[in-house]
Amino acid sequence: MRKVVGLCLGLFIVGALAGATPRYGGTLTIAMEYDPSSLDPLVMTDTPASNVFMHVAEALFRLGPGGELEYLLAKSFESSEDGLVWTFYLREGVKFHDGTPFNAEAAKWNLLRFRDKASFGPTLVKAITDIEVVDDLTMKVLLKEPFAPLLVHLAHSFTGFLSPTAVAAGVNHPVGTGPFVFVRWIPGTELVLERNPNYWGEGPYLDRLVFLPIPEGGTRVMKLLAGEIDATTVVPPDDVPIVRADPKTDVVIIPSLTIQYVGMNCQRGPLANPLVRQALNYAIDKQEIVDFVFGGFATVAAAPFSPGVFGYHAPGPYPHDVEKAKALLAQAGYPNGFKTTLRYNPGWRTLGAEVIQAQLKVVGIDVELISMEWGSYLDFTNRPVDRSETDIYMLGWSTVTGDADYTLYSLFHSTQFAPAGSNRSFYKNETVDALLTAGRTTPNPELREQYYAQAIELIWNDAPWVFLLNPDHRYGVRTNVRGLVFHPNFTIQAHRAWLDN
Amino acid sequence: MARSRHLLWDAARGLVRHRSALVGLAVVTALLLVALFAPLLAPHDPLLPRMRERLTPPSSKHWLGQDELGRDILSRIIYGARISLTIGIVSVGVGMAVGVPWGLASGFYGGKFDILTQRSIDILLSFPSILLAILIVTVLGPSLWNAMVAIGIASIPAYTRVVRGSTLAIRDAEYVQAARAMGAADARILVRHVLPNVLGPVVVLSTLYTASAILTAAGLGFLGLGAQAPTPEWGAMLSRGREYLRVAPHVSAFPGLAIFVSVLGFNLLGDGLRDALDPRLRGKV
Repeated sequence: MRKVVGLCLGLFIVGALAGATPRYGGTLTIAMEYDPSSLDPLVMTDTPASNVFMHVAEALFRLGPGGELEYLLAKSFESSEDGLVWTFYLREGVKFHDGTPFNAEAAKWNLLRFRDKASFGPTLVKAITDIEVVDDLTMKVLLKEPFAPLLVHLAHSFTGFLSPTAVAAGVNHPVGTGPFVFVRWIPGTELVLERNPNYWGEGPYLDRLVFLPIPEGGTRVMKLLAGEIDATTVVPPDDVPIVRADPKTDVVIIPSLTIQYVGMNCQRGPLANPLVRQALNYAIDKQEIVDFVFGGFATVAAAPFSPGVFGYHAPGPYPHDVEKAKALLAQAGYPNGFKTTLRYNPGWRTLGAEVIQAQLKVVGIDVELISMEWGSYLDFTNRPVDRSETDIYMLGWSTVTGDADYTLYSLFHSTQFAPAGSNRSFYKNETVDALLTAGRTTPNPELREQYYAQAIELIWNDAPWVFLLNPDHRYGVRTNVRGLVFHPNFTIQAHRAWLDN
Repeated sequence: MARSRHLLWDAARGLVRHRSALVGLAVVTALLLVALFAPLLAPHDPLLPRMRERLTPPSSKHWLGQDELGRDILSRIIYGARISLTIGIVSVGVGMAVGVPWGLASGFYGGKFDILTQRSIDILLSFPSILLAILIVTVLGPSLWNAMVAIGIASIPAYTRVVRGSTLAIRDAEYVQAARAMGAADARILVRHVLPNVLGPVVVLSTLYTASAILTAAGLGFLGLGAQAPTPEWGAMLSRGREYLRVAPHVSAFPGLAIFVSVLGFNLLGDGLRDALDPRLRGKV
């Protein structure tokens, strides 16, 4: 199964038939698990938001399905020898949906506003000290120190540009330059976009693009089979054969940029001991979760992020070894195990948490399961370290920039302790800190890879997580849909999609 | 005490003649026995996953099939009976412990206290009890105990209202006046003379409320607000099985059936008790 999936990498554009002429018109309806939390780039943080926003607003670049840098509103760029000055040449003749021209002034205004006010600003563009407008279509971005992931961060959909005129006028929906124009959003019901007739690039071919929030997997599958939706995220693994059996529907399975992990609080209770955390890594049978919770549509994690990301280095996986786990627990002073808690949000994690609970019971660890609603769950695990009551928790992370920095720095650097960053395990290792800082400030890719390999070895050994698995995305689609891009970053891109008869 | 023995005797006689109530009694008795002897009856460990056999339909080894973790559904339902009965007893206990004294006092003393009580009860009753329970669980946090307390609290208004009504009818009865004339304290009058006479409706209400408590708890479990995994609570089992309706309908069908049968049992018993204890119907059933 895995081999087939691996070979299919790069073939996730459905129905990319040679010679077929795109047909104009029609409405494409995409189901997502949730509504976007917001469509304001200053506050949005989630994938549904990214999925909608990228159709309306465009950044300088975007990452293609294979991780390649594609030019959007930047036409070309160059950087100074020391990596501190980056000159971007912008695409000419591009207008925002409200008619405002896109130019260097607009780009500068957007990027500085995002840096200073957006919740993702510090993560993505904090390195930018200032921007100089050279002429209408040229700008110089100035850094205080080299920042290796700059380009992939400028390809993050959240940095998409909004019309400064519309923002100044207080328009409360995104007005960008993208192939689709915002029409309306009724939260919980539907989000409607329509084609931008003045789009600068190829397409769009569709008249309308509709996003529906459908939390229940079974309902998404039913609606796909009935033809009420054309594509969906997350087909439940048990439903894959049903969707495949119908000649009018299909399941697209592609490797993701996601890791699913079981985080452990490195500053609290028995889990503060690295031997105990290693024991959990040995005690949990990841393959069983891959096989039976993900229906085989996943791979056991061998690193803190997924293969295919720059800087990938695989010291693992930890084998399933109950005796080794027991020995480590005894060595750590817990020969009879201990009691702890595992928090999670409902969904596949309910099943996963129950499997983990049963597996840890075998080595004597008595786990109390606590299911929490998504919002309160995030708040709970986001408390500062001195008030944190987290023991074990389950989360996932997608390396959407395709660069190790995005995962390692945000999740394992000690300056990124929650709530300031995403280090919710409160993992701290000074050598790792130094390596990760060096990794982002060194322009040389070979050197960066070496730093990350060393950091990953240390992180793997300190085991702040149980490194669980890299899931495959399971997208459902009607077979008459052409040119729809199913991206490893968990988005469905309809920029050049069209409907065949 | 002679009075309450008489009451029980009447009830028993009424029940025996009431056919559907007998069915209810049989179901409730069976449920009690299953709950009591769960470890002896359950063929398998209700918490032991067998991932390789997940979602297997009923077989000779697993009579009701296996769930999404390969656990034996029959054993889970048997252990689930303990949980459902505990829910029924605890939440009815909470409702009674608060509602009965409150209703007694409200009916017996009357006046401003009574008006205040009745208006607060009106407010509470204007919420459907499941909504009230959800509200309370949301505040307390989701767990089985909190669900029981919440359902108990949500049933307080019903007890208060029923007990108050009966108390009003009794408080001016001649034997109460006689007791008062003999210098009995309020507490003594309430406990010795009023309480035994309002017990009939309370027993009926409790039986019916046990049914609705089981149902509400199943509802909370279904919403993820009740028992936490891997507790074999029927509502939670039903909810989890829903994801596999298309591939393995037995996972939710059997817990659903268990809820249906036990709720029906308590309801039939409650109806029978009501008829048996109703003086107007006495001898007619």
